[in-house]
Amino acid sequence: MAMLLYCVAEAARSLGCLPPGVQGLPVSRREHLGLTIFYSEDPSRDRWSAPTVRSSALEFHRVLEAVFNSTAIIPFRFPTIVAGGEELREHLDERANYYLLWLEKFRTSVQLEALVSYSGEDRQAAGLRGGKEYLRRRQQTMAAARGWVEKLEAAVAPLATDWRTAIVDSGIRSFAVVERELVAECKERARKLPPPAGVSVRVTGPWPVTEFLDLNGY
Amino acid sequence: VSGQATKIVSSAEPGEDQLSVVEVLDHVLNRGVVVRGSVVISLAGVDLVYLGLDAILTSFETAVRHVATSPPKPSKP
Repeated sequence: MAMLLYCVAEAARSLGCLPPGVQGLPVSRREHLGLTIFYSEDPSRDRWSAPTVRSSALEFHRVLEAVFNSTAIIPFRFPTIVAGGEELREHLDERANYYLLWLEKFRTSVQLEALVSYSGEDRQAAGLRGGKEYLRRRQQTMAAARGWVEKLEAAVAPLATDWRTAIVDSGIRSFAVVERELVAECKERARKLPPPAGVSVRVTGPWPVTEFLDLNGY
Repeated sequence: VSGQATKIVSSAEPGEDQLSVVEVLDHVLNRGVVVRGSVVISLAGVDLVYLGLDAILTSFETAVRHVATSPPKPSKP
């Protein structure tokens, strides 16, 4: 019977009640090699049409959140479906050591994220002042965004066990691994840093630690 | 000159603290473990990940045939 996989966690962690799974399917759990894996059985064909992908993804998120509130998890990307229990066992036999290594490393940690976006004001200005002015404004905005990220790193990185920044099309993304108990303090420090003009900032989390999982060497 | 205030958002639930649905979808669709040997098909711009052709659903048969002729994508977290 096909199984939709949500996430894995260390076994024997106490958990609260879980919400219904995707499309109302019950969420089951199975222990294997020191791991607990969360899944729903029989995701039938009728449950997987384009209009339901979005709502199903949100239901998937709620299950992850319910487990993540109690313990560290490694989520599967939605929707990951295995053909049945035998295939799941084979997968866990192959990956269990890797999952356990990272779950132990990030047992008490969460991921916070900051998305620093160019707000588009410079683009509107470009319509009035031409391409050269637009490029100049754009450079200023990007420099301001980088400057803000440097301030954020100076404020939050001392509380973080790991930090990573990536340039994306819309701006800059920063990721921090912090202890759960330090989330509020990190957010407060970020809140005290107003973004510069032309830049918008969203700090989100706590999320499961995913950006820092490393498959190299596995 | 300062812009807008820094928005601080919880990841608990879309709609609470203005966590956007887009951010949640970005996480569940793009973050996390991809099972090695899985097949990735795309439906309405959304990548769907499956392990084992037996589990792929009939309604996706056309897409699966297309994927079966394409080189596999590498696994990554």
